[in-house]
Amino acid sequence: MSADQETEKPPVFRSWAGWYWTVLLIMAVQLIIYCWITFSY
Amino acid sequence: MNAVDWIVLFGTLGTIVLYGVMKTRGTRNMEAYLLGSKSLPWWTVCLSIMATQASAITFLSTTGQGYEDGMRFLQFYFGLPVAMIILSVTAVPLYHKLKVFTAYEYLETRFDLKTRSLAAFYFLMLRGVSVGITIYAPSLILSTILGWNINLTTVLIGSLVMVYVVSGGTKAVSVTQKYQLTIIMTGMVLTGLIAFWKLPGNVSFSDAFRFAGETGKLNLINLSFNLEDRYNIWSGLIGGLFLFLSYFGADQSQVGRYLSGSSITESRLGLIFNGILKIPMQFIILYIGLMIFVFYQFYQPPLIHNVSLRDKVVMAGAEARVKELEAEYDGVFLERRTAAEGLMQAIQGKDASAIQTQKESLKQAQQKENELRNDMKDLVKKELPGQNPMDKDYVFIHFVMSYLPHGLIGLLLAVVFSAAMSSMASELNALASTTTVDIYRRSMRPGQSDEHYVSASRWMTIGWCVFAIVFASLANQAENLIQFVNIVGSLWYGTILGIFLSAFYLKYLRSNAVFWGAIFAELIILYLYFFTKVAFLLYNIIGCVAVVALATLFQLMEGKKKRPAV
Repeated sequence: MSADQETEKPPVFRSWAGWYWTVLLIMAVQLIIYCWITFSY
Repeated sequence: MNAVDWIVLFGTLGTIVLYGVMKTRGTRNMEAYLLGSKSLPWWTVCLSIMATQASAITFLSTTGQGYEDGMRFLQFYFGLPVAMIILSVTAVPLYHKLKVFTAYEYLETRFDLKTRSLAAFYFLMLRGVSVGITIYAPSLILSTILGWNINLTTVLIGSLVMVYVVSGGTKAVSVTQKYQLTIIMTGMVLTGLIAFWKLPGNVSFSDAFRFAGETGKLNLINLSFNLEDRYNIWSGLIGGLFLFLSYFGADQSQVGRYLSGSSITESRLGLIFNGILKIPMQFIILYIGLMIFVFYQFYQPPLIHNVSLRDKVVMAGAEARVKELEAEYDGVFLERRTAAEGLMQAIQGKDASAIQTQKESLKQAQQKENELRNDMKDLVKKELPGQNPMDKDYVFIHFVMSYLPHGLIGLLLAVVFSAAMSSMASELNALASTTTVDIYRRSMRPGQSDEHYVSASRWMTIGWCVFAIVFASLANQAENLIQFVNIVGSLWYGTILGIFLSAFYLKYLRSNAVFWGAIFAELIILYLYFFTKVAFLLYNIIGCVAVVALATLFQLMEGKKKRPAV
C-alpha cells in the first residue's frame, strides 16, 4: 500500500481495501446471477 | 413529432448549454480551465466518467444489439471493475501527487520528452478520428429519422457542445454531464417500461423474461474460449481488462474526468462507483433492446428499421418488388405472431413439451422473416449502391418515434443528442488539453502566462470541433468507416497501455527502450489488423505485452552495449 493510500482515509471502511473487496464482491454476485440466468432460462 | 416534442427537445438542450455556460463563466487560469479547479465531488466525477463513456451510438447500438443478438455484449464490460481497482491503487495517487494536467505529462517525468510526445501523438490519432465518429454516427441516424440534412445536424451538435466547452472547460463538461446522464437514464428506463406496458395484457414481466430466455436472447455468459469470438467471458475479462486499463488510465478524455476530483478520495470513489454501476447500467440498456424484441413478437416491425431506405428504394423504381416483399412479410408476421402467442401460452401454462413445439414453430417463422428482411437489404444494395442496409442501430429510435407518446419522443431525442454531446465534450476537452499542454506549451511556446494557455486551449477546442465536423462530413462519403473506427481504439490502446505499465511498474526500463518498443509494438498491431483475423479486443493485450517485451529486450541490448569490455 502506498503512502498516499495511508494518508487519505476512505469513508465507510477503515482502508481502501474495504472498497476494493466490495467492488469484487458485487462483481462476483453479478457473475453468479448472470450464469444462473444464462443456464436456467 | 409535434410542438410539444420540439419544445421538450430544444428546451432540454438549451437548458444544458445555458447551465454549462452560467455555472462556469469567468474561468481564467489553467487549473480551473483544464482540471475544473480540482473541486468536484466523487458523484459528479462518477457521473462524468459514465457519461463520457456512453456516447449516443452506445444507446442506439446497444439496444439494437440486445434486440438482434441478445445479452451477450454485456461480457465486454466484465474486465471494467478490476480495471477500476487497479487504477485507484496506481494511477490516481500518482497523477494527483505529480499535479499533472494530462496523463502524458507524467511520462516525461518518468522517461523523456520524446516518449511523452509519442504517447500524446498516439492519443491524438485515435481520439481525433473517434471524435469525428462520435458526432457523425448519431447525426446520420437523427438526420435520417428527422429528415434533416446530415451536415446541418452535425453542425448543430458540434456548435452546442462548443459553446459550453470553450466557455467553461473541464468543469463545464463535468457539471453538464451529470444532468445529461440523468436525462439519458430516465428516458431509457421510460422507453423500456413503455415497451413492457404495451405487451398484451396477460403477459407479465416474468413471462416476458422467460420468453426472451426461450428464444435464446438471455445469453449473458459464453464460456467457450475462441480467439475469433468477440464476446465471451474470457475476451471480456482479459481483453476488456486491458482495454479499460488503457481507456481509463491513459486516455485523457477519462483521466481528465477523475483529475477534476477535489482529492484522491473523491477521484477514487468516482472510479470505484463506476466499477459498481457500469455493468448494471449496460444490463438495463441491453434489456430495453430485449423488451423491444418481445414487443415486436406481438406487433409488426417494419421490414427494414431504417424506413427511409424503403422510401428511397420505391423512389428508385423498385416499388413493385417492395410491395411484393411487404405482402409476403405481412403473411409471415401473422404466422410468427401465432407461434409467439403459442409459445407465451405454453410458458404461462408451464407445459414443457408445448414450449419445445412452439419454439420450433417460432424458429421456422423467424427464419422466413429473416430471409425476407435479407431480401429487402439485398434490394437496397442493388437499388441504392453505397447505402448501408444494416438497420440494427435504427431499431430503438424507430420504436421511439412510432410508439412513444408526444413529449416523450422529444425527451428521447434529447437523450440521443445529450449522449452525443456529453461524449464529444469530454473528447474535445481532452484533445484541447493534450494539444495545449503536451505539444504547444511544452514544445512550441513555453513560459507564457496562464491566460495565454487558457486562450490557446479555447482555440484548440474550436479547432478540434471544426475538425470533427469536417471529418463527419467526409465520413458521409465513405463506406464501412464506422466499423473501422470501432476498432481504432484497440489498435492504439494496447501500445499506450504498454508505455504506461512500463512507466508505473517496470523501473528497470529506460526511455529509449520504451520509445522503440512502442513503435515496433504498434507495427505488430497494424500487421495483425491488416493480415490476420485476430479479434480486435485481443489487440489490447498483444500491444501491451509487445511494448513490455520489446522494451525489455532493447533495454538488455542497450545494457550489453554499454558494459565495458573485459
